[in-house]
Amino acid sequence: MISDLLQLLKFKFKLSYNSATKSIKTIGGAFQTIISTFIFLAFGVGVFLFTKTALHLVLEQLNIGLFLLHRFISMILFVFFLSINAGNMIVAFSMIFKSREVSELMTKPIEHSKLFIFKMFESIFYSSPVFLLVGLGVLAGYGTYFNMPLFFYPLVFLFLFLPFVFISAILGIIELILLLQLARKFEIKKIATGVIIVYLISLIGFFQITNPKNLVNSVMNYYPNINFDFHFLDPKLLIFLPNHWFSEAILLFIRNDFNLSFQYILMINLVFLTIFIAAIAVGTKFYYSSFSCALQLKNIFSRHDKREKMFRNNSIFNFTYDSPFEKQTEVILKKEFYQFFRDPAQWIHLSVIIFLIILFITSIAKVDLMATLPLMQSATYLIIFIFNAFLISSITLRFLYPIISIEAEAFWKIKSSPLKIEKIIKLKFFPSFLATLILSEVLNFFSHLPIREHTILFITSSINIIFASTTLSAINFGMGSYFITFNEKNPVKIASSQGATIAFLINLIYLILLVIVLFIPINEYFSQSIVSDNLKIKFIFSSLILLITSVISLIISFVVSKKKLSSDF
Amino acid sequence: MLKLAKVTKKFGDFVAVDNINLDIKKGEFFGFLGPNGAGKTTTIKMITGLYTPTSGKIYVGDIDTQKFPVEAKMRIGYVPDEPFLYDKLTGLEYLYFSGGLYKLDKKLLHERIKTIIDQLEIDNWINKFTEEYSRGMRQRIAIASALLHNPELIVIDEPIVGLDPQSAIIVKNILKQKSKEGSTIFMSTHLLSIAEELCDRIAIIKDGRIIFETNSAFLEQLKSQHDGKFEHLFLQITQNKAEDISKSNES
Repeated sequence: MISDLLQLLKFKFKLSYNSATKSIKTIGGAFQTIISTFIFLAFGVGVFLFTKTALHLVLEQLNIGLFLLHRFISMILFVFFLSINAGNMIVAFSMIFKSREVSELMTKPIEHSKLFIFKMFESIFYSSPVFLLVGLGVLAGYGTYFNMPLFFYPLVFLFLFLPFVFISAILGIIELILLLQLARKFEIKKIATGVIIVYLISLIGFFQITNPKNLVNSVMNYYPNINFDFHFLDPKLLIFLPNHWFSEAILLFIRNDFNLSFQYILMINLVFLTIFIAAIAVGTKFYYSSFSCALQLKNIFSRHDKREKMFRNNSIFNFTYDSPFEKQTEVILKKEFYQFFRDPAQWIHLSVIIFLIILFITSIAKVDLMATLPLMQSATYLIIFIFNAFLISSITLRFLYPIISIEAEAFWKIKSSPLKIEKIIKLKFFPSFLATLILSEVLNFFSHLPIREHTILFITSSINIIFASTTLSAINFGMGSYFITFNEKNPVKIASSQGATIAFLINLIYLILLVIVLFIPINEYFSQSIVSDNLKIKFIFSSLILLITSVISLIISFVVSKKKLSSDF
Repeated sequence: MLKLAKVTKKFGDFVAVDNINLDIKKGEFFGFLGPNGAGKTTTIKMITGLYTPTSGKIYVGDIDTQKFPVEAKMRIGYVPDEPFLYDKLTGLEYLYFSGGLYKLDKKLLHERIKTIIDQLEIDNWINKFTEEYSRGMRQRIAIASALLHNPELIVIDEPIVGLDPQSAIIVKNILKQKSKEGSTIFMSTHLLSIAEELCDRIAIIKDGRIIFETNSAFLEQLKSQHDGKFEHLFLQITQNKAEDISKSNES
């Protein structure tokens, strides 16, 4: 068993090694590798500094105490857990079941269980490099802030962080197999709806039970003794959740209660081992039948169902219908439409994102901004705005980054047709950009509803979000063109490639820029009772910076795209 | 109709096409032959705008393909060796998509699609998604899409490879018909029998250089000196004896 797995790993390693060495053999490739490494390192350092600053802010300026801090860490870890879990389900579907490599390896004399274990590890590592980098940065920032001993870092990384990520990711794979088994008996759309409802209930339920607002009020009743042991305030359900074990383990470590801390560490590792063994058992028993089911699903999606009939009968979408658009524009738009809505990987992901947006609109947008401290008000307002921008960043990274690469080898038709490169770029970029823009305005509108009386915030954010979504769209479109690949047509894989990871890091750097640019006018606004002319100028100045950034990003993005699309196909 | 003047294509240090010159007249059926890796597809990709030549000029009619790529492409119909299509479109949608790229009027496009569906006998599966097609089906859809705008120059790369006998006959007939109608055809192939059967003129490329060029009448003469078989002649030419053959025939 081990030797077969090693053989597969060796083959995979050789492939990665060859592609890595091939890329650094040319000057351009070497430059690209150096820049990528630099961005990765810069991002890691950025996360480290951000964590230290954030800890300083919440513990020394806002003075929320260790207990509340670790409860917030637990909440973040819960969202992190669900994100990895859902994300890995989608990545695993394309890597373990739908990839060309799996179809080929299935024809070779390799046991299905070995193939499953190999692909399981691959999908986990494939979907989590950014999480790993974020984890390391946060860990370094946290450890240095609390002056932790050296052994704290490997201990937390190897025995808390990694098992925590693995539990979430492996659970995602087990869930996926079970869902595929269910799909043999029930309609896939009903199952998908069911899954979304379960995730929704989990998320809303968790925040209902933990109730951050009540928790803060309860702890603040004891002010200034906020570093007491407030475990009696914890809901009973928490003790069953890995995010709680994680945050408790590090809190107890800080408080020098090593015995109890090690118990939590032991628990998380035992659960990881159990889930790992369970995954192997489930994979051994159901992998092949799930693989067959995934193949059948492809055929189900290919069939002309009701949705398909709707598209066809509706003359606007039909290719035979003569639209008011110019002919080339019309056919490209229709092709884009069909390519998107007929690909399950696209519309399932879109459904997940719509779900996230609805969740955001219904819950986070209701956050009470009328807290007493201006700094707290500014921080809360900025967090909501940045979360808006983060959602836009995720959407554009997922949908705009792969938009040219998904043409794949069929691109010869467009490239050899009498169509200007500039027109291809515009037709690829602007429809998705327009959708992003509308979405970002909707997000902005709903997140400002609770504070609609703050007219200046409403107006400036409506303008700033246009610049932010333009920049993020331009970055992701441009990076997608720069790292263009016509060998892969799975949008999920393209959007989680190395190039996409670098694009994501640049997105995060831009989000930090947003915070820096907006912080001064926002904080001043919450600190002052009147809107002075000076403040208005500061608002205009910050918008101007964002406008300039968006124009520059757009120009660079289009220049890069034109250069890449003009090169040999 | 098609002119290549001192065209070279390099990939790093590797010279894929080395200073080739070709002049193909209007209505000519030109066969471009050569062993694997000789530079046939690279040449075709330069003609159709998928590759940019490192040096040299390509003219379609009197249009410089690098200066006026859109105008040049408007006159070309291209069928690649691997006809990748958009998986999520049906064959029919793909044809409408292709016609739209060449700005064809919808009414005219309806008629041409109907005609080409009958000619290529693709009506049985035209409404299925192309991801369900066999190679032969995809090839026929790619050919149909290349002919919709009635191009003056048809550039076709390995048209018969992977086709079943029925599809091969259909494709050959349609190419013959287009040639009769006055279209210029530039066909790359390594199937010598196809070149013999269809082409008015052939050229052989090896290691990026044109090593042999002749018309069909002269080809017949040459064959007679080599057991009457084109294979033997081809082998001799590609084994660095092209100059000897040319000299012997000149004498």
